[in-house]
Amino acid sequence: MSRRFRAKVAGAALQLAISACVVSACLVTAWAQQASDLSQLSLEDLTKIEVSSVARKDQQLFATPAAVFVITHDDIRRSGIRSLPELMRMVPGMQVAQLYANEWAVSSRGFNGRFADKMLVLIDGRGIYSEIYSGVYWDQNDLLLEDIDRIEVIRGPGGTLWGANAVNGIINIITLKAGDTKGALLIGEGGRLDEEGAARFGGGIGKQLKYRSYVKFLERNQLVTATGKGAGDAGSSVRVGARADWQAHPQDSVSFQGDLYRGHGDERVHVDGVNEPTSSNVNTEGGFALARWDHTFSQWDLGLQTYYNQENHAELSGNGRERTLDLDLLAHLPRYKQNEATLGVGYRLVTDRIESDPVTFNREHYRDILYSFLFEDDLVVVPRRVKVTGGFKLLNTSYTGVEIQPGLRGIWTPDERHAVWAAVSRAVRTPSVQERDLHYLRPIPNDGPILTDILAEGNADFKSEVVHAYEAGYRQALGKSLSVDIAGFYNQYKRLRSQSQLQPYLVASPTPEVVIPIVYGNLLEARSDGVEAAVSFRPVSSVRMDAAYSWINARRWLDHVSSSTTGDSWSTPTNTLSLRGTWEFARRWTFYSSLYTVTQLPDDPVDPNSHVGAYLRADAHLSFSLKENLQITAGGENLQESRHVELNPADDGYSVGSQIPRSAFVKLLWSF
Amino acid sequence: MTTPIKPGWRVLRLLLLVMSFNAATDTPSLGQAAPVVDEAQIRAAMIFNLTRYVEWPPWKFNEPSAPFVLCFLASDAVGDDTEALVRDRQSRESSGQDRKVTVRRISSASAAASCHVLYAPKLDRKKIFEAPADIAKCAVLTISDNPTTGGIVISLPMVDSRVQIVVDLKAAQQSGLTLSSKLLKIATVSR
Repeated sequence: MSRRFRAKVAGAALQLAISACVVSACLVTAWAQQASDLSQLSLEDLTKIEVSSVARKDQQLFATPAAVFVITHDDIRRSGIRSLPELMRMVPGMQVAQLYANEWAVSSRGFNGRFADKMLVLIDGRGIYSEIYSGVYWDQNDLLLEDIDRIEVIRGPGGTLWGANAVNGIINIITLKAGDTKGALLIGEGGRLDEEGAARFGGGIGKQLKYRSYVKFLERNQLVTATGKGAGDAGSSVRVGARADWQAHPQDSVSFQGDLYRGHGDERVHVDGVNEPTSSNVNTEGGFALARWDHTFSQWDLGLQTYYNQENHAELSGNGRERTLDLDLLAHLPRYKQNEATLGVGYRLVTDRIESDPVTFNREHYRDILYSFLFEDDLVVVPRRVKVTGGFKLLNTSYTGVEIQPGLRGIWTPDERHAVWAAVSRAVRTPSVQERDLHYLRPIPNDGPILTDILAEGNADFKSEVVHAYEAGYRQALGKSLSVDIAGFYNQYKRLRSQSQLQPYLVASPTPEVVIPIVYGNLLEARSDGVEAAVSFRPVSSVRMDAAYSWINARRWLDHVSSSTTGDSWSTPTNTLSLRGTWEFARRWTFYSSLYTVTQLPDDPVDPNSHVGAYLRADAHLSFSLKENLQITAGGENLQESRHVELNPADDGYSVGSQIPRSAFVKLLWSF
Repeated sequence: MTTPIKPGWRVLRLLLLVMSFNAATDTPSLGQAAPVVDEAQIRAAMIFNLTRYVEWPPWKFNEPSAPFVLCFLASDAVGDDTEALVRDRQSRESSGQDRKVTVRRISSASAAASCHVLYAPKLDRKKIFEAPADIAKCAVLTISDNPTTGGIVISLPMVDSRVQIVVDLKAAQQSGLTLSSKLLKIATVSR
């Protein structure tokens, strides 16, 4: 053991990563003796050991009073998955459904659909939730997955710390520091579903400045229709980016990053109620620049971050441009008695420009200014055993005025192996441009003498949607090899978006027409409850098994104006199960397999004929390392069925949707 | 607004070709799992080892067999790991070789005068200066994990995912301890 350990430290002096795979095997079993073995190293060697951020995070996560799940860099690498939404299938309580080659519905705790709007997504602290559209364009955020350090997924409201629109959860993507991506990496992948080519190079200038840059080309091949023909939804994108990290002093670190991207994708949609689908060409381009400074004072620390983000999105007959300038300041204040407080202020300016026809908006330009203030206090009631966290976030937006998002959480860790937590919180989803200012006159085909139109209109008084969430959870680590994490929730939603039909009226000129107005309102309420469980099992160091299960009961809609009101459909299955396993069965060989299954989706209230049944998708692949720096992976996805549908296409009255075919892929990774 | 983009596969192929002649020898392995090493365990090992590079004045030991006292202000993982390490060492090594080491948890610095080493995590390190007797005159090796030393002899901050050693020369001189030149070579010295 100690010889192996010395080998590791020698490796650390050269390049820790080279010997990592040899040593990691013995580390698992020898955990208990590790500290004492470390003490046999010289002081100089100790200063060279790289501290795993995973270990540090694991300890923090165990004592976090929230339903949190982390996808690590290694989880991503082992899975062979090539898109962000597909990664989310690992997370308990997260519903993922692919709609087109480029389009996914992703949400936790219900309300899933193409236009899911209750999940906040952040990449290195930069929000990618579009305020025009109230949702996330997953296709516009196709990162190089190899750059991701970890993805922290929090189910349930996170409005207190994270801001608006974190109603049902937060996906927090954290990329690797530039210092962790030294050298060159080439990626080539090809298969039925997609083709990817990417190159990354990382280096350093002196000891303090590290950088990397990358380029990624991606082609997504078309999926299939219900009859097995090509679905005409292929797309492609190109993305370049760079990051630099500068450790100016031990107390100061500065980080810069930026990306530029362009992409396009096709999809078949229903327009104007016409039954024959039309092909819609979606073109996107944009980019961002972000700077961050972290400073540690003697008693407290401070983080200052600013970014500029621009997104252009064109589809069918509409063009949208959204520009965001954001400034955030977060401070962890000096400890006072048993209190550790966090204080934050934020400013965000969002300007939108929308040009479209026949769907129009009451204004062409939008300017939303948001101020926020947050205060949160961690009160240690019993050191290392009981902690209570309370706080609130105040938001002031140009459109909805002041919103408050409070939260109260508590955790009890009777020992290092058990944790029990509970939380009560309130969060809001702010209105989209469409909900406030839509103006869409749609003729209804009829043979009568008088034309009839439907007029869909926004509502200037549209309020933020609100959730009150009650959650509790339990974690247990059974030895080093088995851990269980269970969470339960009860959510009460108020002021959910509704669409109500008002009294039809006659327009006399230029031609007589009957107009049926339909207007957005906040007339719906809903309740949901559910249980989520994650089990992780590492019987030996070469085998890892993970399971995630969720049960959600969320069908009780209460509407105040019964017959004339419709709302979101709820494409959330009652049961979702995901299993994955990795077996490193020989020195250079790894086998990975995963299963994802859901029970049938609830029938659509608008279109009772549409039906999405239970499905099972099975993925498996083999990885072989030709050399330490050259890895080839080959396998298949959706192996169980020749094709299946994952989301109700009638869900939004617009999408046609595609089916996911059986597929195979080969991927090559080469670093030098 | 945009025209559909056909990714530059040709460019990539060229890139691959050029790079294939460029295979270097010290190649990093492909994303293999990094070993899991814990920050607190490294600090614990450092605290344990630091004692070999520091000399205490003879009066600090009342008698030849007096134990060596490691004190921890507030309870945190570094204290736990040091305690585990000391316990493990003592069970494995034959007794009598070295001076006996005891680990003591203290809740305030008033009990720190008899300690040889006093560790306080960054949030509690102000308490070190709350001692009624001037701790600087008691030959106590004060250690924290803050990036700046601020009157504490040694700091073990995390820099670039590694635990570093920072020595405050002024605080060291006032403490009455003798630090070996070897330690000063490994550590960053703040004046």
